[in-house]
Amino acid sequence: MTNTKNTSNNTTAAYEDQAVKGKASSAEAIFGNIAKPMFSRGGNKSPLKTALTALLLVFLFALPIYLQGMGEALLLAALVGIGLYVILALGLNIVVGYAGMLDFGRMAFYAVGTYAAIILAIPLANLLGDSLEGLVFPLVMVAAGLIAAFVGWLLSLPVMRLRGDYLAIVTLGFGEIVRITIQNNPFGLTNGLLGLPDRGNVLASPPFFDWLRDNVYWALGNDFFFTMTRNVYWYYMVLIMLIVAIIVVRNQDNSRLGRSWAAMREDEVAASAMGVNVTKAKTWAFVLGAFWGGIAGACFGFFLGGISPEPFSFLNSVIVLAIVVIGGMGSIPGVLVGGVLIMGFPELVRWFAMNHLGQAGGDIQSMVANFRNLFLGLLMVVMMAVRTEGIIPMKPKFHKLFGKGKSDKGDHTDAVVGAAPKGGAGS
Amino acid sequence: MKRKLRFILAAMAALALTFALVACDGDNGGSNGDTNGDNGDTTTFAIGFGGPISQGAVSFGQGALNATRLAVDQANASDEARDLGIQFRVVEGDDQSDPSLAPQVAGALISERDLVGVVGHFNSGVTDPAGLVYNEHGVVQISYGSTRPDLTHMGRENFFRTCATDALQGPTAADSAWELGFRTAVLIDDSSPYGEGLAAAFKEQWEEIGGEILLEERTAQQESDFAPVVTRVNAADPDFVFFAGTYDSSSGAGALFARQLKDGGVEAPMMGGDGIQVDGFITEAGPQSEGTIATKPGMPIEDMPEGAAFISDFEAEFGEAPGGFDAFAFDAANAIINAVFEVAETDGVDSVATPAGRRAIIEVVAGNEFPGVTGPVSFDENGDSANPIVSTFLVYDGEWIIHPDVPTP
Amino acid sequence: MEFFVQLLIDGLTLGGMYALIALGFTLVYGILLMINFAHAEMFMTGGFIGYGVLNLLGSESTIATVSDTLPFMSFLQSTQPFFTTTAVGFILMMLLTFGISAVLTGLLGITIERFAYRPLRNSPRLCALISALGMSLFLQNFVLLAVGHRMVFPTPEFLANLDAVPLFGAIRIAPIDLIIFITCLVLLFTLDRFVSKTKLGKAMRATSQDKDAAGLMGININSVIALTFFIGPALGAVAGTFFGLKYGVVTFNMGLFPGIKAFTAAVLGGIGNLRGAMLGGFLIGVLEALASGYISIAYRDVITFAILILILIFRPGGLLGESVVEKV
Repeated sequence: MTNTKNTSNNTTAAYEDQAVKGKASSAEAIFGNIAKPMFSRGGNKSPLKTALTALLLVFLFALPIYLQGMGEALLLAALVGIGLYVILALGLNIVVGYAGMLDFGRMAFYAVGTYAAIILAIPLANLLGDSLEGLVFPLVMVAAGLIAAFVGWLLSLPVMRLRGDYLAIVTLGFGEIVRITIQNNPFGLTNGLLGLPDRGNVLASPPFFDWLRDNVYWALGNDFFFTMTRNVYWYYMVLIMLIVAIIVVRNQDNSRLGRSWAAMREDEVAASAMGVNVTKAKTWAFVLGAFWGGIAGACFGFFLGGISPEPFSFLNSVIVLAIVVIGGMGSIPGVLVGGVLIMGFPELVRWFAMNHLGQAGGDIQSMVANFRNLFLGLLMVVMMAVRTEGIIPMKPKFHKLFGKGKSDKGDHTDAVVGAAPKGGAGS
Repeated sequence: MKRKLRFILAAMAALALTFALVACDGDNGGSNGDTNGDNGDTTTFAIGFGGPISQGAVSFGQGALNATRLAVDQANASDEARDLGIQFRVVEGDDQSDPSLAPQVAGALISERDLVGVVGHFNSGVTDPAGLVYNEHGVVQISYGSTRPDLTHMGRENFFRTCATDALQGPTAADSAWELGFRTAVLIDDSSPYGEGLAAAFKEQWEEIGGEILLEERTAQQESDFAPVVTRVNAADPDFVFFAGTYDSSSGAGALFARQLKDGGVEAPMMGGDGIQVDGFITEAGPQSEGTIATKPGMPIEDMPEGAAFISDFEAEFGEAPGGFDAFAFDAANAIINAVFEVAETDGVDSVATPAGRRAIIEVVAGNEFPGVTGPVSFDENGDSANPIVSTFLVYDGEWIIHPDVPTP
Repeated sequence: MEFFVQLLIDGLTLGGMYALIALGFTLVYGILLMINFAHAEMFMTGGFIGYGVLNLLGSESTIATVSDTLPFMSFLQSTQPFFTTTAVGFILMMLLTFGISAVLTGLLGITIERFAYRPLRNSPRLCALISALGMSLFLQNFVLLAVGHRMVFPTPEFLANLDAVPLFGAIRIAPIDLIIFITCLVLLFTLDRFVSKTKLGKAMRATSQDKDAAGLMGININSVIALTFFIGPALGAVAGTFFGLKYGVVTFNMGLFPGIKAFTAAVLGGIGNLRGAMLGGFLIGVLEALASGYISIAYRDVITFAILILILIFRPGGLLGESVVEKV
């Protein structure tokens, strides 16, 4: 109790403040209140934790040098994929974990981001010319994020009134509509199933890539040879975007908007009665969640160097959801752990099988892919039954006045998780 | 919080420093990494294979992998290999027909330092992004089954393919259909990149020679119910139905469609490309597959001079007959192997896996010609097969046979 | 005209299957207020069990393999010709196939309810939805690993030899379509009678109105819920087996789209309303057929999803349901 007392008092007070004032400026909504509470929960942060974080960062930044140098490129490319899914899951976490709305169609925003980035990249590259080629990627990435956010806003308009489980089904339908529409080449934009960029066009090199590829290399004897390959480059790019995403999402959670999400998640009606603008909070959750989907999508498209509609399947939406649910809804460390566990573990086994088991590796690989999904399903069922809050639960934001709190009448609430430990599951 | 930021900055600074050191160190290290683990007399080179092995269009991946292995085994036993002191090994890259795995699989193959070339991939959607990686590293890539036309028009000088493209297959299909006396067609694709490309190529030629298209339709992927399409086909009453797609409903629905066409009372035969010219199509469509026509790149290999030996060797080693695109993979592997022999002879074995050696391999592959299982193997200036042949087949008595009424080129 | 009628027939056959699946969604929703996402997998599992039974009864090669390992099963060899060629044998085989498939899948449904959903009965509703989604993923991959990716469904010889039934003009209806349509109607009618006339049906209705009050009136809530989770999957299994018979193939992921469409049907009719689900199923089937006949089959899924979204937004109560004001 003592270790959380300090913070929760702060946030409760701030929440009341929010309830009275009601309105949050949009700039603050996007970036959070950076100046003041940037790591407000970090007040009780131990030096050990800081040191561990720093160690982890150094490890993450040094890892590709070792992997590429030793020729373990398979694992490296897999890490890029994991990073992208974690960014996606961070975006979904805003919708599911913070705002308590279920989204089964995350791939829609990923697809919108990817396609927006690639469609914009070609004319932009022509406009900027060769000397400014490096600017293309950052510009289209931001544009892709904004376009995805806009689509998120559009989707949020009609679905505001929907109950939680209906919302889940609608997002599922939306995800499929986006995928099928892309397949059918609307307005000649997406080139249908053949994918983009269409014949002859090549995506602009991302910033500094050409220079880094040609100038950075490092050989040590016969076994170690490091070059700045595409995979290494994108590893760093995605890692940096991931760190940015974590910082921004954290700040949002600690902002006025984050507090209204929490209030809404706990009890929508009560929050509304206390002056929280529920519609606005939901809309922002959708918009911001979609934004990160778009950012991840742009990186994905440029990493692949082109895109076709196949990766945006419903199954992949489920996997992103599973990362959030199993890792811990509303908890950033939870999402990170979930992403590494769900995406990383099978890749690790796959890499091991491919590199160290020779021909038998092929069979093991295919089994891993299927067993991954089997266990994922089982894990979701078990997790819901025994540990709804996930592997690393979110920290409670509010102090409960009366013990366990939270009505057991589950029928009337759509909240996914209670902030308090689950009370009487069987009562 | 400030402390944390500082740590991030410190980490980044450390990284930048590392790179700076790395960049300085580079010049004297560049060639260092390229020497091979040369143990005694023989040098081993890796030939990468990329294709769907565990998931996706596995019927086009596993056999091709075996064909590549067969080519490598034969090369390892050859006199040339013994004289030059060269052995080959196959490195598998399982792309599962999934384009998003392409950079990963290609990256893994590239990280084999003794890699001299890649056979693959199969799905055009995978060949494209994977090819980007091979191209950046200057490694020769010979696809055995990617028939999408624009792959050879992307300015990648390291890319070749042994199979004919849809740009050729589609027109041949149209010509064959005309030859058979068909004048009106219903054109359906299966929502796959392959289907879309083939349909477009077919349509262009078909309209060129005066054929009429009564209806164009696209089925959704993983679709199983085609009843409304069959009803539309019945209403259109065409001479034949051209289905541009594959037989397997995980990537298309050819067999289900053929079945429902017949069940729905459509008398007109179905025609397709190499995507349905597989035995699985007949198994799944059952007796309703009878009379289906399909085109496929290449001659039936048993009619080729080198074909009989290939078939018997393949059966002896793997216990089943080669199918699908296996012969094209065999030829692709041999194109790389021959080029490696030639480069090793002129420039020395040690230079083969260096950037210069890999460049030389590309040049040799581009200029070489040798008798392959699928016919003479050589490439035009784009990297397409210079001797593309497309044959027309028919399902007769539960088996694919050469269509008796279409003259073989 | 003929074109339209033929499309109508296509749509009604498909719609019958949707209706059978939709009933499972609507029954569970009516009683537990939960979207049983895994219900689509009941349809798939039913298809696979039907595939197994049909092979065991009618396929010579399967019987031969089974008899090798289990000698006491060799009696099937003598019954095989009877089942596959004669009319009586065919009907008997169909009844056995559908019966076994329905009962086994029903039992699976009860098991799933017991272990995956009952612990969550008092949790927030979305927990149950996530659990159901996980269950769906699990079942799909279980079937994939245990049985295989896709199985070619055997067509009984007797059925293959039947000719299409001509109606008028060029319109014809395939025998399997006729069987599907009639069976669906019979099942739907029986279920409707069961729920409205029998004591158990009354218990189900009471439970769906107010679980706690029904419990106080002496109804064993757990049994009623178990019964619901038996009937729904059993009907789904019948649809799954029909799917295999009609299209000749069952795949591990065949449940997803029919499942979503059946859910759309349930919502269209008014979720929780049995007759609504039946009506919705046929409506969706016909709408899809007409959409793919007059527009393009490529957009048929988009059209269904659009209908789903529009109904949820503008008339969440569906056609036959009352609009429910959410209690606070």
